[in-house]
Amino acid sequence: MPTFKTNEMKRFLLSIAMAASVLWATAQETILPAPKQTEPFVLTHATVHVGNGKVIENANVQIANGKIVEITTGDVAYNDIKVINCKGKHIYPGLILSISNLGLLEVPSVRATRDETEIGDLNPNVRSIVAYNTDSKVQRTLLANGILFANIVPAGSLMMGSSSVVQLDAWNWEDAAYKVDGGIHLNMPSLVNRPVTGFFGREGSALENDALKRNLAQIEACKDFLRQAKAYHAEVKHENINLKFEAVKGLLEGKQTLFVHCDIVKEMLLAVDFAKEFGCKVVIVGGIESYRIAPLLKEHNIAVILGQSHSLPTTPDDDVDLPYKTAALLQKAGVLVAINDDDGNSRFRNLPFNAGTAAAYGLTKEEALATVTLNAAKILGIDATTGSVEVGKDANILVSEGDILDMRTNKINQAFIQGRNISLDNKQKQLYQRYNQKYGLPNVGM
Amino acid sequence: MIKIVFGESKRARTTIRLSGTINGNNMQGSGVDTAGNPVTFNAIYVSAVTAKADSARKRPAPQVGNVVYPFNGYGATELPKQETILIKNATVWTSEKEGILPNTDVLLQNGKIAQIGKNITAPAGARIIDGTGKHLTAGIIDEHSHIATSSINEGGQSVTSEVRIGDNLNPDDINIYRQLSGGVTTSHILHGSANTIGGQTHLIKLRWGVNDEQLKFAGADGFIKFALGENVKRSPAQTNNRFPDTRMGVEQVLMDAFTRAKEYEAAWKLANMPRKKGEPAPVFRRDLELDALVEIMNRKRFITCHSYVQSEITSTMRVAEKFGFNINTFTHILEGYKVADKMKAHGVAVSTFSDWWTYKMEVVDAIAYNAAIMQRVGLNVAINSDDAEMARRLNQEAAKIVKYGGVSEEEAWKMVTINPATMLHVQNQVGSIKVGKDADVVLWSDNPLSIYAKSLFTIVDGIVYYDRVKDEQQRVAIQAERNRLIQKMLGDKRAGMPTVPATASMEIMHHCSDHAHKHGLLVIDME
Repeated sequence: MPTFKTNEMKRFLLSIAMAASVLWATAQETILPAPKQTEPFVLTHATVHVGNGKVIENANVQIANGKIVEITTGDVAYNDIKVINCKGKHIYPGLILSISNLGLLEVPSVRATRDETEIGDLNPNVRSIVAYNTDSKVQRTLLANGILFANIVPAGSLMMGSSSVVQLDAWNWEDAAYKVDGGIHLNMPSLVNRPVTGFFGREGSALENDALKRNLAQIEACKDFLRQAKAYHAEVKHENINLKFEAVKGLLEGKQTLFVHCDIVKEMLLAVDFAKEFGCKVVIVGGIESYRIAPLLKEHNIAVILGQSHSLPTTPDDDVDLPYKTAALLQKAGVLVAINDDDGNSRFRNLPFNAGTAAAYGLTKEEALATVTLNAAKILGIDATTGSVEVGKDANILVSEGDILDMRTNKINQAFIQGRNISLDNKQKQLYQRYNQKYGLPNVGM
Repeated sequence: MIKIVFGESKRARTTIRLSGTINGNNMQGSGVDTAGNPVTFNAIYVSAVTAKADSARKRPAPQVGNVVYPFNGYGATELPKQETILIKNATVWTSEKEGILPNTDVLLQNGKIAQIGKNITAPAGARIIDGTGKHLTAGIIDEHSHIATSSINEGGQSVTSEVRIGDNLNPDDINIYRQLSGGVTTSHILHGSANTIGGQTHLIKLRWGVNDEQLKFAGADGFIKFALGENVKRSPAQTNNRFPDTRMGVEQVLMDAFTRAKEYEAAWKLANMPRKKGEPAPVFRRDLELDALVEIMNRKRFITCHSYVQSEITSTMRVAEKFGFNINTFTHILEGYKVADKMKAHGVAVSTFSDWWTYKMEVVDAIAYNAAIMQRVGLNVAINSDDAEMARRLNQEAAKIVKYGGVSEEEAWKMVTINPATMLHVQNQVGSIKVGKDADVVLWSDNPLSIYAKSLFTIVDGIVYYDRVKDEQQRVAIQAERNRLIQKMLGDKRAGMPTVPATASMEIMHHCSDHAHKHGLLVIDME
């Protein structure tokens, strides 16, 4: 019988306990958010994809108190610090989902699970963060693919409310909050001149000119609202407190960003007008036709968050790969561009591959990476602390076996949020193990 | 908002179009120049102009554009022809027991794969394509698609086995071309899922430019769409007053239909029995709905059944067994992993999504490892699209089965080629690179499972229907034609011809799975 030293025995018992806990873990409820980082550690000999376009070969990334404290290259002797050898592996910044209803909507077809869309046209005071459900089953499937942050955005008509950025490994919304109420979201009424739709969506003959006029009037009403808010904030003392005006104070002071959700040129030109009249920072969300006015967007310093690359072209005559290459067209014109994944069927976990597609169609791989890391962080106003693997920033990073932008090689070994070593387990992996056990199959490819 | 339209000179028949916004004395916006190029502009108000009287001019004879097939931008004046093509020195993914062959030549001749090997000599007049560093595969087969149709749901009743997708194919659908660009060569066009027993499906080849009859895959077995669960219960609707409203009812719709079909078949046999002279035959009325169900029971028509949760999967297999037939394919089948052993015993094939889940209640337990489990239990597994967008990236969807569940690249690739061919009973014609099979192949720029892979050539029956270089040229031609048409309309307008305001041309897109993703600005999603 082998003899064990006390420490080894402890470790041996611990490993038995851990193996058992893996077998028993049959519900997502047993996956815990990671505790605060206590010990410093260093990831060595990795290829670091910084997020700003640069790549550092054979790099060592040291992490302490949740921050990246040092990056060196080559063989460095580390004493009194835990060393994780990442030779042959890649380090990336944690990916950022720029616009999402994650945690606001669990099952789109079930009304009771929808907390996304409020009633009314002017709801800038509606705040996504207070309804954000950290216990959704979706977040953990995103973490497993390297998505560590999301900007949670309410839906609706016109002024939809404020968005907040969350980290995805949290006990509750206050714990999740990374930047609160950073954006006010405007859903630009459509200026597409659609034919009236008849029975079952078939085209009718009359025109919806009235709808276009109504939509233009709504945009004007929205500007009026902001003008009134400006006047309200110019008052020394208010007779009554107006919550809606209060909600856009940051916007008028340049501390919040106006995210305008729109797609066609006319709509985007009107979005530019908002920036001019109210002096606020404007970001275009969607931007299907943004490539057509790229120089103008660049001139006004307006960034674009594109919808997922994995979309169809708008018209039958469009270039077949237009949605794949829109990001590259914007990048070439000098526009700051992020790529989103708003797919309601796969539930946002294909964010890295949407960026990968942009790399296949005109961007370099590092530029494509930036569209889901540093560019997104800049647009959301969190680039001082995240979005790249740089000294002084939060240790929000991934270790992958290969290129994370390609599903063929995206295999996340470890993920850290503010230095916390987070669990990559999820409901889907647990069901996989459960049925592998039923059929006597191996738990491979997880 | 402002709109400015003006000729570039007094005599010019071409027009510059600008639109934008006004802020005080400043204007800015975007537009199109006379050559059709996008421009942006800034303008400052200087002074007002005085209008001059227009003088009448002689109109030149109208220019008429070419007739192209199909009649849209990506159509051609002449259909592409079958060619003898030698692809040299490619990495060949056979989807056969030969596996993946490095540095191999493949000869396509008379619409068939004629030869596979090293250093094949090109026959006279053959087109030679250098495949060095590239990957050649069989064309992708999509088991579940709704493109190229004018409608997909006859949803008024719970049993509509008499209706046929083959009667309303639309060969002009641009999605045929878009999917060729993603390497798809064969698609199984299904009826929708609004009812338990839907309509008869049709297998097509993506031959861009032909008519509806020529799209059809010759000699393929007939299939029919069945559906279970939330869609047939009309769960997404606010109310439902059509039976069934539960999974219990769905099972009884099936029981009732086949009980009627059995009685109908017996009555038909009785009516067609030889009888004595003068003995009257019993009255028999032909019923197209029951005819199709009798074909199923006699294994002359095959079922692809939209299904999600384990209870309905099992109960449907049991109904089929009671009537002595098999379900051919369970499609969607997102909880298939829970009853993979039962499905194996029944002998059914499965066709699923790689990573969709939680877009409706019956898919909250869907997992990306579903395909891997079902494959390891021994089922024939395909990955399908049910979606005009995803269909052009089915190679990537197959790649996800490597990521989620560790299936080998070779086996994952079969899930979009030979596996769907087998479940559609056309494995002897398509689905692999084998001598004698149809010359339906794709040449990829990279490993076909990579996000960076692009189809360079997509070939059906030895005819190049998609050529990435030609596609680039086509774009230039589309731009020129578009500009010609717009300039003509503007010229007519300036000459005083009647006008109507421009409206967007909407595109109707069919699907059957309560999709929660958007298909585009001008798309009307229809179930």
